[in-house]
Amino acid sequence: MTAHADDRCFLSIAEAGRRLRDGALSPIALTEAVLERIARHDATMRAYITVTGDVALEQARQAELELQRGHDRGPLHGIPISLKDNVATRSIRTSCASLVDPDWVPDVDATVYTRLREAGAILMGKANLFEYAFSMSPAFPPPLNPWNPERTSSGSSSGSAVSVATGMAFGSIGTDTGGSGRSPANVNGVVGVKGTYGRVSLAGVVPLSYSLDHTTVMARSVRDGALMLQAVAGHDPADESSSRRPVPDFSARLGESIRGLRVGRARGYSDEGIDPEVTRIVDTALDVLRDLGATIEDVDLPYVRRCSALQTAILHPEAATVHHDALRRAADRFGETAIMRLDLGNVVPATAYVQAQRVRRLMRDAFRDLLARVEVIVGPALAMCAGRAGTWTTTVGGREIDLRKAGPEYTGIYNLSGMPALVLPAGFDGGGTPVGLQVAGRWFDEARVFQVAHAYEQATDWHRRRPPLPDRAPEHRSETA
Amino acid sequence: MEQREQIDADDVRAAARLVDLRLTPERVDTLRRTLAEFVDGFAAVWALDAGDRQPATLGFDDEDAGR
Repeated sequence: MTAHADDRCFLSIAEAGRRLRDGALSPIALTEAVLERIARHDATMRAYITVTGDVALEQARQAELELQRGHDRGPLHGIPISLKDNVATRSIRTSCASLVDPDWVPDVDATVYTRLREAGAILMGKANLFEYAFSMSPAFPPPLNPWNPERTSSGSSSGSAVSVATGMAFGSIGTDTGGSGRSPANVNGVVGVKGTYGRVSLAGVVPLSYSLDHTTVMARSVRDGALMLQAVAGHDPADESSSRRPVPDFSARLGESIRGLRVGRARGYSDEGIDPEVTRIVDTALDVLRDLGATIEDVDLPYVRRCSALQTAILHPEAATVHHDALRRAADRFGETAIMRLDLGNVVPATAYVQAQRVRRLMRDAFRDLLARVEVIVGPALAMCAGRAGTWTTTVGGREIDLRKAGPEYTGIYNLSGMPALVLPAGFDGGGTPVGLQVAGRWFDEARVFQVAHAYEQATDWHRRRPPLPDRAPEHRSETA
Repeated sequence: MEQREQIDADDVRAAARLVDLRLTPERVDTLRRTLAEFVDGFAAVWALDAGDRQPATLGFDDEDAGR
């Protein structure tokens, strides 16, 4: 493949769209270029569980015909995308990276895929993930972090993030229950966006936790993230939690000045294990926002130190309900960590679950007061840099930190609150692995989140970097944990 | 005394039986530890006064978010 062909795989969605419309690029040629890239790199990278080459080429042929005839479905028409493999696809295997039902072939499409198809997007394949979006899979080794294969690609939507970071898709759909969409975006150097709870349909997405699950989007830039979210957002009668609110133009504020905007600097996290490299990168990013005219004030995130307990009390019992039958029928097919979490979910007292859901409303009220003072909240996506591949831990200042306990304070808090949150690239740690910045905003005000993130992105060049893909996985690497 | 010192294997087996879950000895031991950690960690949540608030049973609906 020529360098020119590879360059096409890294175009923005907007630029690819322009070339598809002026005839400089065809949907078939673009799809073939991405398929070639997948064929060349994915045996090593493991971003995909299933590559849907035939489907992609058929969709590309249709897109080509439609565009030639002047039938323009919008910005995603002819754009290659991936779907996390817990998003149901009719007649295409949806494994959930599990051995429980690895060859499940749904008879319906998830609403998000239906919307992407109607928008003319091209499905390249089903992306790798944690087992049921919950824990490292016993069956499917995780994707490599394309920046540093010794480091984790995180989870659970790691395949989605890696497919986008490596030019094997232009955008992806992931899911995010406690950070599963934003965490892999963080360490793989892409944009990950969780809309407000209810903004994007969950119908056809295999649930993990009914009240915490969000469908997310990933892309290589903030603008592309807005285009992806635009395509899938909006009420869905098939999803009871889906909001009836009108969907605004998420790109409307892109390019608007942030002068005078009030930005809250996220504070109040547990002190243990905060990596000075992350602090440095976030502080530098806040300086950029200040230089752009925003006013920065410290804000204590409400109940942040209770997030781990709250998330466990809600997520684990809800997941244990989802997998009630399978756990009793086929426990030996689940991974060790999934079993541990599902067992706990089965015996968390109902009173604790209800108390946790009541405290979420307490948290909501406190956030409402806080968000009357600031338009957005900016902080780290995680307190630590990416940990070792195949493990749940990282080391900070000589201490080993369990990422499962640290995550809820940084990303999980916005699943508990239901607020929109976006992670975008903001630098690299000493090992050359990306570190992200997180921007959260008022409920249903995703456009403001995109505005602030875009302003930061345009003042920096982190999003323009491409990963140096490894030729092969390190031999000593642990595959499961 | 922390719960992790008080919850024993019989407690865990009994709780699991109530939800028709048969556990291997290894799972009992792991669950004893994780349940104790949970109970310890959740004590601070019990200490919070949620007033007359109803549980957020399905996350946050439009009314929740918009008020």
